[in-house]
Amino acid sequence: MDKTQAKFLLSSFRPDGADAHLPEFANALKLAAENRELGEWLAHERATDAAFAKALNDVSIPEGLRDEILAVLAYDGNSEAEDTDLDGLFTGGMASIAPPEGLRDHILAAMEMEQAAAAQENSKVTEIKVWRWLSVAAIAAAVAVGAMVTMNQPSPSKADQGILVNDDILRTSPNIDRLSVQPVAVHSAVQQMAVKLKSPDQIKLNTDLDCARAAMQFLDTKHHPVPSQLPVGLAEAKLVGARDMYLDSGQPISLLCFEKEGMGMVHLIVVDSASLSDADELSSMKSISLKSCYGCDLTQFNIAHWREGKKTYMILTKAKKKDMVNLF
Amino acid sequence: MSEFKDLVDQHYQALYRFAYSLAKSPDRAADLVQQTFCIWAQKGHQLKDRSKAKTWLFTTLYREHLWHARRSNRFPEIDLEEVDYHLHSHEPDASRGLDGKRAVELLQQLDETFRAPLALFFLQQHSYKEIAAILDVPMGTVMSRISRGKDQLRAKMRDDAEGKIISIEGKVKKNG
Repeated sequence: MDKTQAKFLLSSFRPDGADAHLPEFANALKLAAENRELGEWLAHERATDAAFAKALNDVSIPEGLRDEILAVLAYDGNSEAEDTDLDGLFTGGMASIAPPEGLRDHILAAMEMEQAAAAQENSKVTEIKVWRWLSVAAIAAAVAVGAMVTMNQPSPSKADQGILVNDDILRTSPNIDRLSVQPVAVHSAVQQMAVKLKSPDQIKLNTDLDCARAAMQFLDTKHHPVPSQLPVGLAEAKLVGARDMYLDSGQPISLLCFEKEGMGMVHLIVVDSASLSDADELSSMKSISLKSCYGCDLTQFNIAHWREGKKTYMILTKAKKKDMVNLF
Repeated sequence: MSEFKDLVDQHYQALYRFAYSLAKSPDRAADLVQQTFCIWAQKGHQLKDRSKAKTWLFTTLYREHLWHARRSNRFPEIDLEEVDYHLHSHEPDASRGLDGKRAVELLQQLDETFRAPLALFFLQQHSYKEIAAILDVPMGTVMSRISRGKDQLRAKMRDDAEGKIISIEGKVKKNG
């Protein structure tokens, strides 16, 4: 081993001496002990490395980072436990419930709706069904819940059950040339909305809507993306208003603003996944991760985004990330 | 939860410093760390040898960073936070002492190839063999990158001492 080889090897020798026991450094260290020039080089190298290492290890850690990590972990852990408990609780109970009369017909009708909608899309006819967001599974679940409720209550109307099936209504889709609208990246959509929301006065919300369902109906009449799901924490939050909007490049986007106790304003944004170039890289709401907004220094928003089915959802709020987990 | 907590307490600070060296902004670094522990929460149970948890965490964080970097390259974005950060780096700094912030700034000016191995080396948490495992490169490559990375770092520090700052566009600007 010559001095050049020894220097090369000793460059990877940690300044705190933690590698002193590794045999591969033994010869190089021996040479440094025997050769004054190499010894001086090593001493200087270690001193420089130690100074840099100390500086790097002195980088301050953001206040609250540990709590945020633990909050998210607690959320993940609890959600698993709750799921398990819920499974156990419902498995027995559900088995005793007989399928309600007419369930089969409801499912078949819903399937027909889905097939018809798919056929419409395939033939590029610009018509959509109102409340197409109500999937077969949702109908089945809603009917099952309805059946449970009817055990002790008078039979409610279809509307009262929350089954939003208006299969007699077809609407024309937005008067926009979708083919000319190029998809944008998720972060670009988030950033645009963050900038718009920075000046809420310029967003004229429809504040006549008294609940999320009314907001959904409003957005549907505007032919804008309608959320097919709400995070649990938002379902209970007060709706401030909703607005049909467009990204700079023309993609229709829906905004629903909620006021959540302890969090302040929470903005839910819904966009068709087809409008986004990288929506398929997002996870579902089950494994959502919380992020600081791009350009957070300016907008102060924290964000969460996820994709379910053909819709992509984004939440922008100035609440802390550890509080955001309470939304899901 | 107790195991999670212990793991977080043991490693989140070093992970953050590593992430900060890679990610160029404190918020992204925090996101990377948080994301790493989220992945641990989902997949950590698959790791049979718990003594390798530390290496697993650093490996996962590095992969998350690469994934994010690739995504950003595909969809270039103007990160206002980063711009803001870099603008600050052009401001004259009379002290120029090598504190943590300056150390990270210098690391961030290095080529991507050298940044990760050098950050891991200076954090002193891993031997060069472990660094090779984290970065998934041969041990000789790690040694070479540490050695060459240090050369590049020294050059940056010399420039720094002479009052030069390398801008994000690669131009050299005189201080003052």
